[in-house]
Order: sequence, then structure tokens, then C-alpha cells
Amino acid sequence: MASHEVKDPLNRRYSQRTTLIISAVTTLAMLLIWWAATALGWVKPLFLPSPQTVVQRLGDLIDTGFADATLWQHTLASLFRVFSAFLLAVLTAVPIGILMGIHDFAKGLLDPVIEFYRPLPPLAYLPLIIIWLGIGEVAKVVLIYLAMFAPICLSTRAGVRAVAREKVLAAATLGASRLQIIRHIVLPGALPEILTGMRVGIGFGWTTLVAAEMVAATAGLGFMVLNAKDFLATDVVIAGIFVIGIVAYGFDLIMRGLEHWLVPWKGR
Amino acid sequence: MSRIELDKVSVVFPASRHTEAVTALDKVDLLLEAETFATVIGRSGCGKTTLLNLLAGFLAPTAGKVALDSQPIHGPGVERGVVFQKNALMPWLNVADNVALGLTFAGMPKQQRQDRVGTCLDWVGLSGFANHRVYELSGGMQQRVGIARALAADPKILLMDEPLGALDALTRESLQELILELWQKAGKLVLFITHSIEEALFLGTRLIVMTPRPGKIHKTYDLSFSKRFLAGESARSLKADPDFIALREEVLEVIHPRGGDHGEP
Repeated sequence: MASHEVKDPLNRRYSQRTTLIISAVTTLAMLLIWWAATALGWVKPLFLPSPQTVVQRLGDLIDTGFADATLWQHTLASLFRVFSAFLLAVLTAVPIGILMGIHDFAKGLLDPVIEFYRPLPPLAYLPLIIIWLGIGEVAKVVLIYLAMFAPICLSTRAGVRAVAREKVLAAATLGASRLQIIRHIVLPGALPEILTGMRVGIGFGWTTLVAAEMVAATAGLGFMVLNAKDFLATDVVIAGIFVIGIVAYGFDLIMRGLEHWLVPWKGR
Repeated sequence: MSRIELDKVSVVFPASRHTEAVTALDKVDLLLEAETFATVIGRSGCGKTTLLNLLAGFLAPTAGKVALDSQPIHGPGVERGVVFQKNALMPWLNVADNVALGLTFAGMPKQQRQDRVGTCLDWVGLSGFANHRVYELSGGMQQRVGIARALAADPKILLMDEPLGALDALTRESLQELILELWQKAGKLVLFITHSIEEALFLGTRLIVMTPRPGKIHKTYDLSFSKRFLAGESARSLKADPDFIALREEVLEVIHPRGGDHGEP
């Protein structure tokens, strides 16, 4: 650090390299402990298979698969559910969120519904969805959709409210119609929060995936992990968890990239 | 030839749970004509922003009539341009698209729009900045964009709500001079709200001094400093002119009386 820089009282100035090194060391240490625990026989392979076994199993999953589907097929099945739900959620939650942001009537109408179901764990209303919609693909997508809808809708509403009054008034003095104000001012103005909501929503949806695939699925990462549990195939469970984690991290990177690209002015 | 008329205009904000009812404007009469540059000054709560909001159409009077060219004002409209103090530029648009906003809303063809935007950017000295992002500009340059945007829509009158209030002293002075030059060029009726007495005296051809509780026009003055500036006198010598200083002290005595309560000016 250059000596003329002002010191932050909270010491919030870490070099990115230092942080990266610390993270790498933590990861390596965890792998090492895992390896030691299995190699030295601290834990039985049934409870915790060795890293080598899991890596090998991952290879098998890619080549031959598990429960009548390869890893790609499981992953694609899950991705299809999550993205169908995501598409539906964005197409409905964003317009409804905008309406709630600009219209007190819409807010009053929808607030109790959303605020009631939002904190419920998806597993709690899963039985109801099964009773209503059956055990097919629709029920799974709807469960994930519901998990995504609330965060996207509420962020959109918050984003609309956060658009500076001066911007809307300025547009009005420049002759904008109500629709033009929504299209040219409110929507782009709320975009940072909408994207944050989408990022949170996709995280929620991915979290709900395993619950959605608990019932009558024949493919999917959540299904694969649950099915492997029934056969005490711990290596498949762990391999599945890794894949689920990596895909989730991938989503997050994509969303952050989108933010960087679409709203470079965020917070300015 | 534009003409602003206020006829016994009152604005009362009703009491809420935490505040008493406030009479922001109390039976205010005002007539501003043609190429007047009106500056409005007074301490917080004197109703100067309320006055601007009425003319912009952001607010309806509780009683009385507000009219531009004998047409009563209902809501915002393109014939009344507004320059805000801050937060009014769209960061997702570049400088040129911000300036073009009103023209886009009106559906002007692209070529015509570009020409108009080019002219307006030239007026405010931002010719080379068309493709810049607004949030990367300094505060003074952002206000230039705001002024260009208002002028691009070619309004009849220009309402300016403390447009230079957030700028440093040097930037402020250069923008004051720019605004006077633009006023002379465009020949529009301007209503300019400010907290700075020097600014109000230097820019205005008509100074409106307001006092609070209830918001009223205390006195108006006809001024010639801006015309003398445009005729070639330097801003510094004008601000050191004995008439300027005497008037400054007189207005200061009204809005910030010595020995009175020391609220903010």
C-alpha cells in the first residue's frame, strides 16, 4: 500500500491477491483434511468416500450415468426446469413488480399474497401443489417458479420506488406519456434492482430444485442425489452436490457479468 | 412572447400526523413578461420551490390561478422546460441521448434529432462529449447537459430549480455566465430559484424576494447587472459595484435579519 493513501478505519483495504491466496489455502486445507480422514481410516467409506473415489465416480457419471441417465442428462433436466421457471418468473414478476411500484391499488392487492407465501419453505406447500397439479413436470416447474417469483417481484417494486422523482418529473416536462415514462425511465431506472432480484431468484430456484425433484422425477441432479441416498451411494451424493454447487456458482458468475454489462452505472 | 400570471395563488399543505398545516404560498400575485430573467430568493420554507413546482405543473394551487399565456397550467408540459439541481439525468443514456430525450418522446426523426442535439451541445460547450457517459462527467458538465436537454425541447419558458446549488464556486461562476449568454441567445422567459444572493442579483433582470410563514413575495426589484454583463462589463467588477453591494445588503437584511432568528438563509 502506498504510504500517502488514507487509512480506512475499518481496514477494508485487502489486496485482491492476498484474498485469493487465503481462499486457495482454505480450499486446499479442506481437501487435505478430507483426504486424510479417508486415507487414514478415520471415517468409513460408506459415510465419507475418498476424494479419489468421488472423482472416479464423477467420471463414471459422465460416461455411463446413474439411475438410467448420464450426468449431462440429469443436469439438462434440472437446467430445463430451472430455466423454464426462471423465464416464466421474469415474464410475470417484472411487470407485476412495476405495477406494484407505480400503483398503490396493485400494491395493496398483491402485497398480502406475496408477503404471506414468500417466507414459506417450498417444502411446506409442495404437497398442495402436488394435490392441485399432480406429479408431472408442471408441478416441478411451478414449485421453482414460486420460489423465484417473490424475490424478482419485490426487487422490481423496490427498484421502481428507488427511481429518483426528478427523473420521472424531468421526463414528464419533456413531454413523455405515461407509457413512455415507464418504458424509458422507470424500467431502465429499476434495472439494477431487477437484475439483483433475478440473481437472488435464480439462487432460490436452484435451492428449491432438490425439493421439486423429490417426487416422481426420473432425471435431474436433485433426483440423482436423492436416488443415490436410497442405494447408500455416498460417492454419487457427494459428486452430485459438487455439480449442483458448481452450476449455482456458474449462474452467479453469469448474472454478475450481466450486471456489469447492462448496468455499468449502478450506484453512480 | 410568453407571459406568466399568478392571480391570488395559495398553496396549503394539509396537516399530517407529524406536521401542522403549512401555507407555502399565501395569495401571491405575480406577472412576468417576455424576456424577463426572474430570480427568486428567500430562506427555506418561503415557498420559492413551491412557486416553481406550480409553474412546472408538478403541483396544483389550493386557490387562485396560474397561467402561461392566459392558458391555465394543468400538469407538466413541453412548453415549460425544467432544469433540476441533481438526479435528473438518465445514467443509462449517453450525453447525446439525454439531450435528445424530449425529441425522442416527440418522435422526431433521427437525422433531425441529431442535428438539434449537436446544436444544443454546442451552445453549452459540450460538442466533443456526445458519446460520453453522463455519470463520468463533472457536476458542472452534468448541469450543462441538463440545460442543453431543456433547451433542445424548445420550451417557451425555462424553470431552473437551484441548478447551480451543488457546484463549487468557480464552476458556478462560469455556468452563471453561460446561462446569461444562452438566455440572450434564446430570448426565453426564465425563472431561476437560488439560495445565493449574489447569483440572484447578478443573473436577474427581475429579483423576487420571498419571506416564509406564510410564503409571500416580500418585494421585487428591477435589475440591470446581467444586461451590463452582456454588454461587456466584467462579472467581478459588477459584483464589486457599490449598487450591487448596497442591494445585496438590503436583500440580506430582509431574508436574514441581523438579531433575528438564525435559521438557514
